[in-house]
Amino acid sequence: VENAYFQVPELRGFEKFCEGRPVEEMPDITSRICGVCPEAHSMASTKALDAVFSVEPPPAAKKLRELFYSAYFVADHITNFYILAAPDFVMGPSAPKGDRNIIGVIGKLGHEIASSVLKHRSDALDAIAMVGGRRIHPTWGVPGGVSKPITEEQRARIEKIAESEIEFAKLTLKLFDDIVLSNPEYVHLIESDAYTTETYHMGLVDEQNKVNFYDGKIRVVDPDGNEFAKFSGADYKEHIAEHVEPWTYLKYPYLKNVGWKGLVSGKNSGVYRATPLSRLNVADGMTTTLAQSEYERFFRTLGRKPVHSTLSTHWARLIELLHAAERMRELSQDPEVASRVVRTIPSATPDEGVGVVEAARGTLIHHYKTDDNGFVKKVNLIVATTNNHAAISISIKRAAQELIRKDEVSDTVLNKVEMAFRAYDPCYACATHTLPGQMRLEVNIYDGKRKLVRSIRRPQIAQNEHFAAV
Amino acid sequence: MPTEQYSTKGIAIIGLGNPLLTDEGLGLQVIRKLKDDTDVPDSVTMIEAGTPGLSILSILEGYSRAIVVDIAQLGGKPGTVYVLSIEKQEPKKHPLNIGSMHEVDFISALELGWSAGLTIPTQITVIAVEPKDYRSFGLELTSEVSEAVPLVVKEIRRQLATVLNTK
Repeated sequence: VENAYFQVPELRGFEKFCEGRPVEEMPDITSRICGVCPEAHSMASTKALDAVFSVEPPPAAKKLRELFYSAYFVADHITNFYILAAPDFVMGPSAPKGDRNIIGVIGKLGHEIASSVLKHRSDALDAIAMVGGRRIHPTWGVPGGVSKPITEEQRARIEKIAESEIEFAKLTLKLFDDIVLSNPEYVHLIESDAYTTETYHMGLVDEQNKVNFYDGKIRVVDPDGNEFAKFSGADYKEHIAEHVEPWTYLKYPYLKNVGWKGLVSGKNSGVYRATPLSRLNVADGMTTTLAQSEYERFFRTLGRKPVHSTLSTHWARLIELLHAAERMRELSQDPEVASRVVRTIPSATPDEGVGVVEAARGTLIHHYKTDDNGFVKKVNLIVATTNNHAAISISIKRAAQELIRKDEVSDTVLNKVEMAFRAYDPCYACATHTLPGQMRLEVNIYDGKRKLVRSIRRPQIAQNEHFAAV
Repeated sequence: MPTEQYSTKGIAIIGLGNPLLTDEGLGLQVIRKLKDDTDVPDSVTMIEAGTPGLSILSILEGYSRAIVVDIAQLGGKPGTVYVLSIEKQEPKKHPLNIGSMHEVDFISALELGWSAGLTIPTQITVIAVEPKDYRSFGLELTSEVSEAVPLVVKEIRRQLATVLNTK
């Protein structure tokens, strides 16, 4: 394999659609981009509105937002691990195609774990609904705070949910230990060159440089782990630039102060990652006890910091799951979350603002400019998948080069290449700001003379095969 | 909107789709129209679900019956109304595992729910309309799909009457 390119052939158009609309509609509009992380978009958007209207939310509103956001992380990370990552590890990367999915995982681990996964996901969504008004596409974020408080009864229910989520996170980490870390073959796979990409890493940290999903400064470390930059979201343009290639619609953000050197890794290339793994790499630790001890074990086991192995992202995600559940409990135990004072009414003339959060998949930036009446003049979104676009391409190339020999592209080999891609859980609906829906993955293999020798399309589930007309 | 979360479970009418993408907004528009009608029985819950992915399971949980409204590209003329039924069946061995969480579609979510033994409806009626444009950003339905909305509402009422009479 000489090279591997990852193309995103979608069309853009979302930013244009937003222009001329009242800026307060942005949390609702952006949360509709897709159904997987509406909470992240709605939160980045709400924070951008705080900045547009120069308003500081009261402490209870910030805590409610973070409580909501922790519940979102719990729901997202649970699903991600069991649905997306588990088939490769529980069933094995070489298992027959038909078994390597969540149904196979249920068959192997039992129905109990499946209902537990869905129950804990559903409970986290209940918490989201209690705080944010509804389970999906919540719209309670407003400039200066949130549109409704929670009751004492709801606070107590969320606390109970959080307790159970912590136990479930611990159980999931144990499962990861038993299935993945106790298997030398998997440990070898995780540490192998095929899945290692040395890049800069990016993520939000609090004032003590601890992981924070909701707020803080963006910290960047170099491939050796040294702090390279630390900045407020509002200054993102001084640090991040976007490179454009003619063959893909999706841009390649890179570190401006290192420079774009192409799709290459290493210290001289401005390519960075913003993933769950990156968040652990850029931080000095976690603020919660159990997650901190898992954090320490993670770096101790892998023997270095930063960790560059892409497949460790799955493990990092589970440590974050535990942290989110613990943070959810902490916040639910704070009596202030049931305060009735949840909004500061904005009085300044709107102009411009940037909102940054960590989405489950990585750093998410919303940037709006408005006229004096608050109508949108310009929108720029940099979503997690866009941040990771260059790194994803490099990881795929690396896996393809290490794993494909001659032109033998067996199903197992193809799946192993996909594993490099899957660890990022990319979202191309929101990265290209277009139609959500099924991703069609097509692998084209060219010979040395650039002649197409084989094309493999990942088969899709036929949508209508279950339909019977009545 | 607590009515959506804490209703006594009976029959759910669920609007799916993305309101930003022209005809993709059909499901939500139909639900809004039904919510304005005063004669829908209290035992029926109307839910604007949007694009819930796997979360459709926690929406469906506990309901005995569900009617889902969405667009479906089945090859007919734009505006054609289809009535389809999804029945619980043994999960097939799908020849793929997903590349991203964003690929969990409605049918896969249902299969997962059934496999995990959730109390979700075992039979779901889908009332779908052939779209004309579901790729352009826009808040309005195309005229073809918009004209189908009264037909969809009529069909929902017919389905409801059947279900409620046979209870």
